[in-house]
Amino acid sequence: MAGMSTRELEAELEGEFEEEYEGEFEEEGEEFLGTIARGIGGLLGGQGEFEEEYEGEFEEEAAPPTQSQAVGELMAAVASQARTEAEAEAMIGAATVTVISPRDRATLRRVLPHMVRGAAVLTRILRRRRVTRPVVRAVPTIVRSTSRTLVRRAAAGQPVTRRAAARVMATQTRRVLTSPPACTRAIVRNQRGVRVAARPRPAATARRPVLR
Amino acid sequence: MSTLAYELELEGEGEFEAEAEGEFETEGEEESEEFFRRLASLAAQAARSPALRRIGQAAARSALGGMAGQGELEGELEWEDEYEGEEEANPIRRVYPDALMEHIGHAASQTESEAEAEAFVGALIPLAARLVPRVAPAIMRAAPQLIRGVARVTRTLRRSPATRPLVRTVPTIVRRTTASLARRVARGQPVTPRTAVRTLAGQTARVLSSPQQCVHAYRRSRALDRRYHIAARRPARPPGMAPASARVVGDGCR
Repeated sequence: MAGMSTRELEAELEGEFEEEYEGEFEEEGEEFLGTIARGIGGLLGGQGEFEEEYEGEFEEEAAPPTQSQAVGELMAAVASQARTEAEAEAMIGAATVTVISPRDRATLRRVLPHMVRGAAVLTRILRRRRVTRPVVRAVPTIVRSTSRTLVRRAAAGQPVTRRAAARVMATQTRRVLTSPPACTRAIVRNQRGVRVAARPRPAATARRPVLR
Repeated sequence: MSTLAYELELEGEGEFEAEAEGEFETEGEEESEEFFRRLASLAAQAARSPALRRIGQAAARSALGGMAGQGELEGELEWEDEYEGEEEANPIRRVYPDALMEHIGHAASQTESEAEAEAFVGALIPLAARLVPRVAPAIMRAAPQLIRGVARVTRTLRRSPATRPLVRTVPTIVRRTTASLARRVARGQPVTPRTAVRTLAGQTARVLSSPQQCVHAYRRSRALDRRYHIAARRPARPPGMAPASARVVGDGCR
């Protein structure tokens, strides 16, 4: 089954097929996450392709979320509790774009729609089991680290293609889902972001002219 | 098919009944092209389309999602009658995000999965917010409600093959909503999530009810999507460098 899952996940993330996974995953909770992660890890031929590029990822994740990132985390939290798949994916699509900085978005313009799609597919899979639904909150962390890796690739003059984006996202998914500490950190970060985003702020009005 | 016949066909679509699907199978670019070509002939005659108006009203109601009744929507249309064109961000700097928005709108109209379509249109909200930096915080505060609203509009339009090409107008609706909210902020009026959703509903009705605006939105979408593909063929630029599309294309597409 692992081989089967690998192929299907690869196809999903690269946008080639629209097949569903019905009946593929029998496990619950951590086992289910492990199956997803192994499937996604299989994208890389079992090797840690691009592994060397992830040094220092967790240190960056420890930084407090910006307001924009906090809103993205809030959207992911809403997605994790959405009643319908469609609403969840609308929220995660928005979260994907929101957590990537404008500068990185400009660099990743070629692959951004594919990243939105990849995040939507991942969310769809995670929502299939009630027990893994809360892990949707980890999707912004996966997206953010994917974008940082891709931006570093671009800065190094390496091509940022749809396939490269799919592989990097698959690797980041594996890194978070197969590691309970990493998964916990991502969810804690999400909760922190939700608190920041939910802080009451004054409603927007026009700036008053400065009196000189 | 004559314009009148087309009007009658649209009339039959009324409440998006499934049985109306045979006549307007729109499964790709050619069908979208044909759909908007017919609308363009209506627009050229400055004609109004009662059917299109009904579609617009239905989509706008879905944006509100039970927030208000028809009466409130009508009122919304009155005070939203002030649209004066795009504003705020420098047009040169806007080409890239505008093109990305149109590309995402195109993807939403083409994908077979409803949920995936909603992921794409959900992504339009933060992109549109960035177009008007001054109002971005207010829009992002209302983002969950706006995302739900725009997702419901998309779902309504995708429900029937006859109206699915109109999904191409969603980026225009979102952009106009942002511009309208920016004007409210400029006037010193508060922007609450409720206001934001009502504005979205008003702009939905306004764009979809007008053949002229639908056609304009579609042409703009096609032109900018083409620019997106041209830009995407270029290698990714190193971080911090101005986008090539902005350097090459200076006149915008409006």
